[in-house]
Amino acid sequence: MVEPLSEDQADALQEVTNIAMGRAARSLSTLLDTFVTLAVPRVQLVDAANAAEAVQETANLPDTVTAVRQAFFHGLRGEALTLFAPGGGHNVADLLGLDADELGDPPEDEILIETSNILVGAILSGLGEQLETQFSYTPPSIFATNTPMDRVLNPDDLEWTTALLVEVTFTLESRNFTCHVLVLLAENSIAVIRQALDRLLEEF
Amino acid sequence: MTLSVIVADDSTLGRKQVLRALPADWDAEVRQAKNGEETLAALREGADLLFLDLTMPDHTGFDVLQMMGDEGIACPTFVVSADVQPRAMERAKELGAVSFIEKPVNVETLQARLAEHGFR
Repeated sequence: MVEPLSEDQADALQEVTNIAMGRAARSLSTLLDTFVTLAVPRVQLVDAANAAEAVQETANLPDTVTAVRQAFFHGLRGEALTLFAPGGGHNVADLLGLDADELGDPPEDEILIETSNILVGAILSGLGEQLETQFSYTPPSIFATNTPMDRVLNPDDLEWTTALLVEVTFTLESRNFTCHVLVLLAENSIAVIRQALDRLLEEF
Repeated sequence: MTLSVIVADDSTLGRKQVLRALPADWDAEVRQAKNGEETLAALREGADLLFLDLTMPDHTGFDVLQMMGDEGIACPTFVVSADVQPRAMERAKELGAVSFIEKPVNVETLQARLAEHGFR
């Protein structure tokens, strides 16, 4: 049984995420030369059994998504998933001025992996820096293509039973394009996060 | 004369960071607002300076700036935001913000901006 974060801890994690998310948006906005609209990040504790449902409820996702995954380890353990709606890669490719024949095969994957890499890299490094916690991460790879959420987060495949879910949404103003980044911190990292947040809160 | 100041941010930590950065010897009465509605309500009572977050759940800071313009509320506004896209800064300035301070708030930067705009 993992105890939920206190109100102050959840507020601090949300604010720390907000800063990391702002940096990610700056990178994406520079790459695509378009304004990225941000929403307030969401923080909640989820069980493996209801993780898909929890994400579905708050993120307003399409029926199927393509997910890019990066795992992280050492100081903090968990995984980051970037969820794209079908056709998301075409929108990004178009903004980048790329034609299908300039891309790898399948054409969208490369774009989605790169987009995810930029966002997740900025978010994780932003969180690590502010929480003074270092960790390493694996390179991004396509984890699921046009797949329902309950199969993306299939409880049988998850390496944790309870996770702290940090959820961020990026919307491109000039396109019908939204993507979600889920950072799932495995249970044995929640204590580390809690201590890091308490250290931060002590300063104020 | 005592300045009337509003610090608007949905995050408690976000507000605390601004409050801590204000000059200790400053003659100011500070009110806090947790969302767009509270910010507008506080502004309608009158204020000399607003610190405004952009990412808030009900009305964004952009919305608040827009509504201030619509209602003719002329309160100098320092945007304090984690949304550090150049376009976010431009948009905030277009909507009337006088200054843009990046989060996490740096004490020296905030105090220098206050001095720049004659608030101390």
